[in-house]
Amino acid sequence: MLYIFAGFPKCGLNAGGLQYAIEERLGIALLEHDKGVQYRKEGVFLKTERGEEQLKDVDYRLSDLCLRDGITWDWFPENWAFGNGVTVHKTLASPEFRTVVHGTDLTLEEYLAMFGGIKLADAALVRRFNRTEGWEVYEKRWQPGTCPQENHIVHLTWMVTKHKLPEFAYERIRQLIEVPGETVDESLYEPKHFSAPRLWNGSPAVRQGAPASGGVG
Amino acid sequence: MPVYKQGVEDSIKSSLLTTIGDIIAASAVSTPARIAAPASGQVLTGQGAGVLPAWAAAATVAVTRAGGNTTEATTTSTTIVDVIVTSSLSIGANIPVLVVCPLRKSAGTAATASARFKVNTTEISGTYAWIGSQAGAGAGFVKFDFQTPQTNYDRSGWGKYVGQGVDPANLPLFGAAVFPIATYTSITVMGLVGNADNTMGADEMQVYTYAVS
Repeated sequence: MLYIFAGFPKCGLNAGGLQYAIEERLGIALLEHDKGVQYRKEGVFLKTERGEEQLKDVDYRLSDLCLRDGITWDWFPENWAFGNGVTVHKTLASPEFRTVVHGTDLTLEEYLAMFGGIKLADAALVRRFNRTEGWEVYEKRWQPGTCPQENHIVHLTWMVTKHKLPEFAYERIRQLIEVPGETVDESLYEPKHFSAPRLWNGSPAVRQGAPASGGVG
Repeated sequence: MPVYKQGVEDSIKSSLLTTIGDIIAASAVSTPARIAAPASGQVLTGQGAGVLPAWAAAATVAVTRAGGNTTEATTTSTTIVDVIVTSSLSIGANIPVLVVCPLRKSAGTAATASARFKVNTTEISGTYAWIGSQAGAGAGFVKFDFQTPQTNYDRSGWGKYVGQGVDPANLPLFGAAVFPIATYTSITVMGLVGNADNTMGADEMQVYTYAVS
């Protein structure tokens, strides 16, 4: 079964550490590690050297915090690969903005090309949200009104188990991942089990080169 | 029936609450003030001592904004998985693109770690081991150069990878399959480990588009 949680593990463990905690330290779940078993949006597939075969539909559970953040099963697009084991996933997204001459949809270069010179003191420039095709495709994945309208990162932690978890086991794992302040006894783990959090400066996901000649912004 | 100091009850009922959803807080001792009803989804947030609380968007768990905490993407999957994705792109036809992504593998059972490349929903490369089979931790790097295709020009890119146990003198190349002709809205670095005892990591993925003439 596929379990999806919001955020990266608040206890500081990475995918390997979380796997170690679940299978070895807590012993509350058996994770799927078979190299032939892959969970995808479309179903559970058995992959062999000669091809692949769909075994069944995906049995999944999204945590309540995923749903509160606007992330449902529809957030994942077609052919999304969940794999098996444990994954701490990262998606980066950035809206685009254009600087245009106030009252027009033209950048300063485009305005000059069209109308000739302009006294700069007379030109008011405004920053306008550029609703691109890519942004609309991305925004539609979220529940209405929940897509962040700024540069952001989405962290999701998911795991594939061999069997459905009893509620106490699910809740314990959910606490490790989603509850701030949740810690583990670091003396029982190795350094390789942890990922250090760091401050993100909000840099955009893509750096765009200068546009085709004749336009800026 | 609640009992209020004389005058407060009248103030509340007659003037402060003007809209369904309004709440009341104290702006000074014995002085009620109206906080206007929130927008959908907002929560009451403290603004510090001496300042009325205000409505703000609820903090999310999954989303990191500028100045917030992030960390690397990691996986122990032994089948290919979406590790790190750049979404909300709008890359049209004939745009040169560069994608770079440093990778790492933790110590564990001797095995490789592999990467694959996906644009939109199409996996367009094979799965290539970017690090040699080793028990120790190691680091590597994948890079994809391509130009978004147009009709008849659709094998327009390649990938390179390097890592410990991979001879850097050769900088192995892997040929990409046919690139789908579409606006590219997401680029994904996929990965897997040869043994679940290992963890593959990817922290930063950078996508650059170049100027066209």
